[in-house]
Amino acid sequence: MEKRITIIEDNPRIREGFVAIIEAAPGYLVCGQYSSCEDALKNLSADQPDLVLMDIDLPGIDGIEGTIRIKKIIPACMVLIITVLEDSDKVFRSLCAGAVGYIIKNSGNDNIIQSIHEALSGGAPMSLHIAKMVVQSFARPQDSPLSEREKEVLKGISEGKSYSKIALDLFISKETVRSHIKNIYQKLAVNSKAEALRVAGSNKWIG
Amino acid sequence: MRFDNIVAYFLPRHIKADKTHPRYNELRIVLSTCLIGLPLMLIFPLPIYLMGKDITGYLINDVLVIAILLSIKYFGHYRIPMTTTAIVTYFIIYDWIRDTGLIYSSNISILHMYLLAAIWADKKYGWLTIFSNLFVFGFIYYQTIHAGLDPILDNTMGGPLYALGMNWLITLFFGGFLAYLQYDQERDRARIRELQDQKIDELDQAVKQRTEQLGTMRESIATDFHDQTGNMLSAITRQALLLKSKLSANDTAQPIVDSIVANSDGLYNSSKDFLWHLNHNNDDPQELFDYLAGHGQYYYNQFDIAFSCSAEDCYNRQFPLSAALNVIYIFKEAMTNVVKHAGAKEVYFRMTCQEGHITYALQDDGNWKEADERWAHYGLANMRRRSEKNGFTFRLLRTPGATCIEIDVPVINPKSQ
Repeated sequence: MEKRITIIEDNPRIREGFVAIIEAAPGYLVCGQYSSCEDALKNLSADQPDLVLMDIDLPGIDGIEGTIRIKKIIPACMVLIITVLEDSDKVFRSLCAGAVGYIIKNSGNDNIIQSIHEALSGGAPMSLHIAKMVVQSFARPQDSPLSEREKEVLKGISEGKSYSKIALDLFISKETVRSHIKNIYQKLAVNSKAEALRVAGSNKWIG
Repeated sequence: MRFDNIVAYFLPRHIKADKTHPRYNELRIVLSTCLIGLPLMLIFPLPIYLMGKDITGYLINDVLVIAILLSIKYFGHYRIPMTTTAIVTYFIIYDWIRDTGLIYSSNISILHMYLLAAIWADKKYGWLTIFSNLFVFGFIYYQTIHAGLDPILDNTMGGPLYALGMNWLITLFFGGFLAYLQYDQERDRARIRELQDQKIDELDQAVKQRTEQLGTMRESIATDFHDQTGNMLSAITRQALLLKSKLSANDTAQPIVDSIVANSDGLYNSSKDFLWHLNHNNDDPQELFDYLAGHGQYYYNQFDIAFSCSAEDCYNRQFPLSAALNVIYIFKEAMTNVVKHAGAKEVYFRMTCQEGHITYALQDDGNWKEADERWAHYGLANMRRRSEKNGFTFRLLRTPGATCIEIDVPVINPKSQ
């Protein structure tokens, strides 16, 4: 069963590029491509995507707001954010809104397919900077909903360890690490909806 | 400025040092008045004594003024001794007037002098002396008309009422005039202070504005990059990759397309580094470490390489501004090279603090191979050259099963300072 993918990106060259990569990869099918969130939302029910690739900066409804709306219409749909730079603040807020990860617009083809694959099989990448923000988000007075293992994985990422290193240290496989991350994202989205709608503070471009 | 030194001698210690203390001016004026009055008062006793008159009053007055001076020096306080002096002086002056003709006395002018000194010394209560003088003149008049003076004297001198009236008028005029002078002076001083404060405020504002402007500029440069350059570079990469997929695998154009992708990718990455440099405290070793650690984590996640890192807390160290970007270039190259080391499975990045420098080290457990040598020379030469140019110390340590690249980056405020 081919995975259905919708692409929302306002730059036509970039959108074209994504469409071509995904169509060329086995197991994936582009069920819709739009230059704005509004258009995509109109056709969302008809398209029924398994995963949406969405630019974080769109004219009109932006990626963060878009994530919330898409998740309302199709809760099981995964949202992967596309961004030019790894701007932690915006990316973090879209994660709080329910996105499962992000890809860099400039990435190579293989990288993109791998990220989509990871997202769909449940384990989108998380960076050191995002992990630190997640730790902070869960550090509030209410009991952290994370399991012990999940806390260990999150701690490892926030300390800069790669997945292989975390897997080594905890005597688990890389896939298990990814699935823990998927759970962390899900709990984050449940726990931190308010963060998604917070007005952007100082934009720390970490590059 | 000898006089200023003498005044300063009598200032209380904590005020002597602090010219901006609110009481500085006030005390300085009291002291100046006393110190000018004192020698002038000392002129009186000698001729008076030679004329056969009693000088005890003058000497008592001098002692009281000295008491005020000392009270200020040791207690920073003058109201009580000054009030005491004021009251005692009235008695002393009255004593001089009583024996020399009461309202007709030449010593009456001492009361006017007294008014002048009072207003000058203490503008807050000096003007009260106008009223006390009026009262004292009234008292002297009363004493005069009950003193049983010869009516011929009254005729010669113009009558006590006339003397009283004139002295009252002189008191009011003199007092009012002096009071206004004082007020005017104060106003001038306040105006100057206000202008100074205004200037300082303006400068403050200007600096704040400038800083905000710079902050906004940085942000807008970052946003512009995001919106334009970043998107355009990504578009180039995407289209080049699309073109690549449309060409057959052995098409002669393939290397050209690869080159386009490499170039736009390279430009994208160096822009990222530059933006980081623009937007961060790039003299902070910890921020530099965080950036490289984040990059390492991201980079090695693509491979089955276990990457980890650690950093010592190097309190309050600062790099020269140009250092950070060069360290980034060196270690990004080093991290890329590790992937080519045969059998590299674990990579460790560490920051340690020493006396005059900070050491960054990248260590992997791979083996340097023959095939690596040619490329290694080029890559290593690059790193060495960049290190030399920026004053870093470069070390390459090779043992079977471990390769380590270390850079010492000098700091501009070493711990000893």
